[in-house]
Amino acid sequence: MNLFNLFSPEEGVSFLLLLCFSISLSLIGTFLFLQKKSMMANAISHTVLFGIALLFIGIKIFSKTEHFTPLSLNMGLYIVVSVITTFLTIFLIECLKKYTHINNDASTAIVFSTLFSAGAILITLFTRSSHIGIDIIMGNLDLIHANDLITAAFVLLLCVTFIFVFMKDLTVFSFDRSVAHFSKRSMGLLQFGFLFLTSLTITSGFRFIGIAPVLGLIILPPVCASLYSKSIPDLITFSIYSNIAVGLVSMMITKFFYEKFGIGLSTSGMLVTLHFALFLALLVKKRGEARA
Amino acid sequence: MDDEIEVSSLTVHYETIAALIDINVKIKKGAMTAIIGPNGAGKSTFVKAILNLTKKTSGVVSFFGKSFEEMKDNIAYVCQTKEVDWGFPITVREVILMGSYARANLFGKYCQKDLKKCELLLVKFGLFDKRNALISELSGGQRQRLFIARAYMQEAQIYIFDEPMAFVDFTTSEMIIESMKELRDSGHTVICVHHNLDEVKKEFDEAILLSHHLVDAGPVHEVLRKKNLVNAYQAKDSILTDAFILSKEKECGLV
Amino acid sequence: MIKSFFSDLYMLLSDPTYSVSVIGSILSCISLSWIGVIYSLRKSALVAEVIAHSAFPGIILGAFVGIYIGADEKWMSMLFILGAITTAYLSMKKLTFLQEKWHKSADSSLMISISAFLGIGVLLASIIQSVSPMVYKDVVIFLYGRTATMLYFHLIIYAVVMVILFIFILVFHRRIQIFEFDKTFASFLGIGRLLDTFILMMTLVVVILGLRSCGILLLSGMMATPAIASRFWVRKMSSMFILSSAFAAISALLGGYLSLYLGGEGIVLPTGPVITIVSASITFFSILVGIRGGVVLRMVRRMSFTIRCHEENILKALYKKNDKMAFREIMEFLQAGVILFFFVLLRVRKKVKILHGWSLELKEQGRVYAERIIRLHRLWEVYLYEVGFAKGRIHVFAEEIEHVLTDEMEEMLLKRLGNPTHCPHRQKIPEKKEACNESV
Repeated sequence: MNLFNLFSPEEGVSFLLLLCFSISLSLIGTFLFLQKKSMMANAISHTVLFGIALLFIGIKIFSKTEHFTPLSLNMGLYIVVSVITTFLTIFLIECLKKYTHINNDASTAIVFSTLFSAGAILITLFTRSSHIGIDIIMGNLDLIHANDLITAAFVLLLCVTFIFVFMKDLTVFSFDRSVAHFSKRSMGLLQFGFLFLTSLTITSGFRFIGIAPVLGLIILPPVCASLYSKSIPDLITFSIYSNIAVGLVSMMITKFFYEKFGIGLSTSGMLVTLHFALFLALLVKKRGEARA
Repeated sequence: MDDEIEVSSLTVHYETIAALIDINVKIKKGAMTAIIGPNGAGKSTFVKAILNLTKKTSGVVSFFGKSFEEMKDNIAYVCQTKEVDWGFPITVREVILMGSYARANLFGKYCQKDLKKCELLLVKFGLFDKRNALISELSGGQRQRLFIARAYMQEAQIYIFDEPMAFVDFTTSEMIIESMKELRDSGHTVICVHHNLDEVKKEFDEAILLSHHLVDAGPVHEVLRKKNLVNAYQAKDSILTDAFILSKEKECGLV
Repeated sequence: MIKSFFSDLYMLLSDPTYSVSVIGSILSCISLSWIGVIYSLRKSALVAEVIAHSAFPGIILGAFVGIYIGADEKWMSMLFILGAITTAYLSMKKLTFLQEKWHKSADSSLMISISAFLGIGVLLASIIQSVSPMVYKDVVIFLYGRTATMLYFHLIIYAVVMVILFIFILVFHRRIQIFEFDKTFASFLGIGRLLDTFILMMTLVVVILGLRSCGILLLSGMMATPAIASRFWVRKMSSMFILSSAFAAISALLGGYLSLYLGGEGIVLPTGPVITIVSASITFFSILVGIRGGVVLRMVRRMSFTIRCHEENILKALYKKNDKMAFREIMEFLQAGVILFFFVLLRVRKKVKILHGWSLELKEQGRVYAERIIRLHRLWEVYLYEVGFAKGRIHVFAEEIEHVLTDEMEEMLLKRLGNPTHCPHRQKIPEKKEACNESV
């Protein structure tokens, strides 16, 4: 399949960017799924707005830049935002759990609602515009230029390297904490690294593809894969293939609709919808097999 | 003492539940010790608290004169089977190999020696046929044997088992006792949380009888005296734990 | 300035331009908080998250139907609500299906529901954006909430729903309590399926109605926070309902006010975040200062208990020595610094005589009090000996427990031990005297 016949160069860039993030998110998502911590991504997805707001205000105060929106942050700043956000979130949740009788779900709900509201209010006040919040959710693949591909590729590279190098450690850690507990290898460092990577991928993902697809790509490919895979490398391989396939199909459909009907479908939304459809299809197939 | 695991003033409590009150006990090196007591009396909590798997309210534990941090890669812990995620996509062989995780190099590659040992253990514990199966496909007895095989893989000095005989068939149960005796005879220290007093009497050397507090500890026949059993198993009231919890709550400012 | 604040609030409630939205949002937040109380008992705060996110595609589907049949504003919002309820219901059904039939963990099932429906919603939103930008704007409002879009007829719906919920809770109060506390026990009593279904239906309706004021992204926060806050002030379930509705009403009113005035010229903040922040502030305040388990209060109680323990230890020491003790001796004995000692002195002043030369001597009242403590100590030691507590540790443990034994516990001990006269260390147990002026 010749990419350049089907897509224009801009679309090709969009596709590659989408692919980079899809794979990064699925890699991270696989281990979150195995550790049963996927909802943490949901929490971070809310609180990241606060991190962006803080950074935003900081920059406005210190550099006096006039025309500045969250969409123009660069990579280094993303790293800062993700670190601040993740650790703030986890710290607050654990504090609540430790010093009061509030349980895990409720603590999570309080922390992410508070930080999200604070972030939304701060951003609205400082940008005098109510649209920022919407873009963060829907994302906007059309506003991408080639430079962004470098960011996406960088994130992908980080994810792939980390997971490849620490595959065994992550497996052990996700399966049975007590083995990790007894080994002299530094589990704290591993956790920190994984958390940082999760946060970075999610944060930069928002900027380019929006909250909804980020959440979808973290859970859906791994869950689909788990229906048929027997090992973790299998899970990852399946996720990669399904991301490539679904990504291509999404872009083709959106392109088709735009050219034929003039309707600008959201590629991000299409992506999640198709992954979900795949999930349902696989469920039905598995049910059929179980019945036979 | 260098030939004992020394537990001093171990106290564990959560919110409104008193698990362990001021436990002071010494566990002998090279012996097979059973942790016994009624349900909910803190046996599992005791084991987890010693291993820092659960938060202690207070207490100090030393393993043959060393701290937990120093000794931890020399301890093999077999948890209760109900605490494991059996749906995890991992095969039987991989779980056993995990026992040598502490010895693996930076990239997590297992050495030839460990791979060979894994094969031997698969045969020894009757899991060879299932070596490439997913752990979700195992029966109750096989699951227990799997984790014991992993413990063997660890080549530790101290082996701790938490209710290994729950949910297993008779053959597996015998195999487990034989394994523990084998470990003890080759100079290792074995600690096992168990609920079957007859088996404890027959097979174990030492026992620790817990009922939130330490009722008795020492050679099995001494601990299993009637007076001790009555105290532990026929608690008439909960004044002990109530008063203890009240004290902890006042210390925290909850009441 | 305070006066203008209250007059502004009054205006919000009475001026027809604003009152509809403000009162509507108050009503829907109160209903939300009631549902929140029920869910806080279940310890599952994230269900609202699923319902709220899953409603998004439904709203858009309703919009499509509305565009197709050319609906007016009123019908449009009805369609939004209907659409939202449909997709949210499907999502909940899918959630239970995944968990029960497929044994997927709660974590992944929740995440699947939330992300899939949100994603579908984003896709549908992009279609509507092309087809009818006006309706798109109306739909997007639901993400963050904007009460200004409320109509009079919404107000009626909210009021009706709230009344139904109120009656339900009033009548089935006892049953809800049993059901949430222990589901197995409840099923023996025949309470179960019907109650569960009704609660689910009410949750769906209340959450979806609440979307207009709180928004999809923040609704679960608004549902959880008033209930959590009320937990720090009261214990009874009925009091929780009352207090959390008060908190919710304040949040909605203050939130409405702030979203109008906080932004300054021309900027109206979306109501969802502002209401949530107010509610979260109330919650954090409750966590700090609340009577039941509030952090500040706990610290105060801890200090107070420590001082009392020190007081009792001094009295015991003086009693045993049968003589006066110098300040310095006492401070060393207690291992306390000067400041702590000062507070302890304040506390103990009625029971001791402060002598020249900086020492203390027991007064009669102090003597009686000391005897009580020693009595409790030795009784406890007898008890520990009897239950087979480790002999070498009996005294240490008794040193801790002597400070907390209540009269009731003392009675139970006496009953169990049969009025012993001596402790295991062969020391005499003082007899029970008339209660001292100070209760333990």
